[in-house]
Amino acid sequence: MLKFLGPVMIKDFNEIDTLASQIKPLRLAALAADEEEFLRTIKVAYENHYIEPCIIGDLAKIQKTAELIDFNISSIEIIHETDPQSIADKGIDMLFTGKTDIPIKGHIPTSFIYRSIIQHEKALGEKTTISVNTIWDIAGMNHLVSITDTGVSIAPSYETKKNIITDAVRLMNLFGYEKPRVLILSAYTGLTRMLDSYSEARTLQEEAAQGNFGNCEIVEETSLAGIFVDKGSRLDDLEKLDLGSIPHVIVVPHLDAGNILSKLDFVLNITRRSVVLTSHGPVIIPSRSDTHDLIVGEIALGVVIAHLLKGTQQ
Amino acid sequence: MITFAQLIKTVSSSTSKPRLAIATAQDAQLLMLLPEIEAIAEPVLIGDLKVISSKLIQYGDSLDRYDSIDETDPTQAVLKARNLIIQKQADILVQGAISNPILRDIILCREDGLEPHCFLSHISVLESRQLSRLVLITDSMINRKPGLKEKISIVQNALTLTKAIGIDKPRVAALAALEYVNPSIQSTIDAAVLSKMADRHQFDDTIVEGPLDIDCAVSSQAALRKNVSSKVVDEVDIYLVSDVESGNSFAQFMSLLGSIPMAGIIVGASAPIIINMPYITNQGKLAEIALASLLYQHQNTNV
Repeated sequence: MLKFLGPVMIKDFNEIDTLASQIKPLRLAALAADEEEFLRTIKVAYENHYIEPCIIGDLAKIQKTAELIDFNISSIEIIHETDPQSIADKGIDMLFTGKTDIPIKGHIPTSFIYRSIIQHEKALGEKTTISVNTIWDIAGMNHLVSITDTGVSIAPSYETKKNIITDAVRLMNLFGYEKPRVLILSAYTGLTRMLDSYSEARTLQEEAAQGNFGNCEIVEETSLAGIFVDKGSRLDDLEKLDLGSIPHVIVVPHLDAGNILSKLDFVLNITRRSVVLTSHGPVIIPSRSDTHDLIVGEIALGVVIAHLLKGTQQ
Repeated sequence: MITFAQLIKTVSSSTSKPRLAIATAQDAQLLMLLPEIEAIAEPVLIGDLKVISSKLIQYGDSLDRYDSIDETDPTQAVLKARNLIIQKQADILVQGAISNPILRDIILCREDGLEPHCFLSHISVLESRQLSRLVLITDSMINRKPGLKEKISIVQNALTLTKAIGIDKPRVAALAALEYVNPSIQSTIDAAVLSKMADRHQFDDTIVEGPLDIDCAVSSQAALRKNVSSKVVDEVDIYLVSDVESGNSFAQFMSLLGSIPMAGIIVGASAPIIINMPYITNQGKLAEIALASLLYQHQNTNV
């Protein structure tokens, strides 16, 4: 087992999974793990030695579901709680007090968990906003891409966007990308009147150049097409795009766009895993439509992030 | 599934070809494609004819073969193209080498533009083999933050295009960030209203389902896991997005990351408008002209 992983650059989810299996199992708090697909996920991650789980939720329901999927939970700590906000609060409190390494959302609305994270951050004076980074492993690419914020801010203000970028850069730095390139998306093409997203992108670019978001570069372009097609030229062949030129972080203008883009794995050759990076570690927020294979991968992502964070704290 | 090649073939076999008013026609892509464009439409080249002629010679072509109007000033070239449409001497407006803001000011914003009382919206059309259909995403270019009234018009414009290209009983997904109504998220409310309007046959017999998040629109498995019962899942023809930010990035990411051929068209004016975006390939440009031609024919046989 790895005690601590040295400097690495993680290029894809295979590397994440390999690392997660090499790291000593970390403590995971499963919030409301009474639904079959989700508890099966915990079982698989436990059997893969990614985690030492603690389950918070309705004891009777958890026991019944565990029996259904043939999961022996006799040696697993279970904290009985039925109120969804209390379940979220207990799990997030465990993260902020160092009693768990990774909370993961189960069968409760995400808003309870977001609320609890924000309250804990505010109480410590750490952060006032949080964001979801959806990490993409795109087939044929040699680096990971974070799409953000895909889950929290309905229409992020300029100040919120600054926090979103800072979080994403911190995450990509953890993955070993020393100076990630950041794309701020905007639909402005000149056919509409000016969009806030475009004017904000220009100002954010200036701020990034001053080092306000950590070590990163916000690129001039504001669209994916702009990344692939130079000014004054034209796209010849969709099959011959240099996917490696896609920036490491893509900041979406708002939640509606973020939700669509983050789930394009349903139609494109992309694998997706999502995480909230708090001041005290990762929180895994699977989508309600995610299958257990995908959530096991998200747990592996959480394990690696938690491990890397511990390394930075040493 | 209907393909771009089929649309182009359908238009090329038509007896009457629409006339294209190409504003500032010195755009290299358009000039190189003229022999192929000629098979489906009659181009009228408006712009700096010295430049156009010189480029055509480079491509082994000749200006003499085409109708043309000499106009060196780009703004005047667009105005002349617009006038050809208004005077019924041309049927489709094509943006050449002129910048988007000039086109916007002359065509999209001015009171004397193309039918100022109509509602214009842009539709991205993707030829998706994986989804086994032509996928329409709207509005992906023009309307910044459409309200409910505007979204109704955007749906109606998209339905006009689907009728023109022969998609029977199109299915519409009104997308939002969530698959249930959240009073804090306007897109979920608008989508729910549109869905209810469709239930009451306010879009004829078109099914509009919403709010749907993208996974519930494209995956029956995801919809099942979220306990969403939907009549459009896996079979969406038209994705109605909340605003231009969502539509523009959705269309671009699908096309560029999925290698999915894409075309686009502005619908709602008295004539279809084709804009000039650098990420539209040659095949996409021909598909745009085919889409515009079919739309023109449809509108002129249903007046």
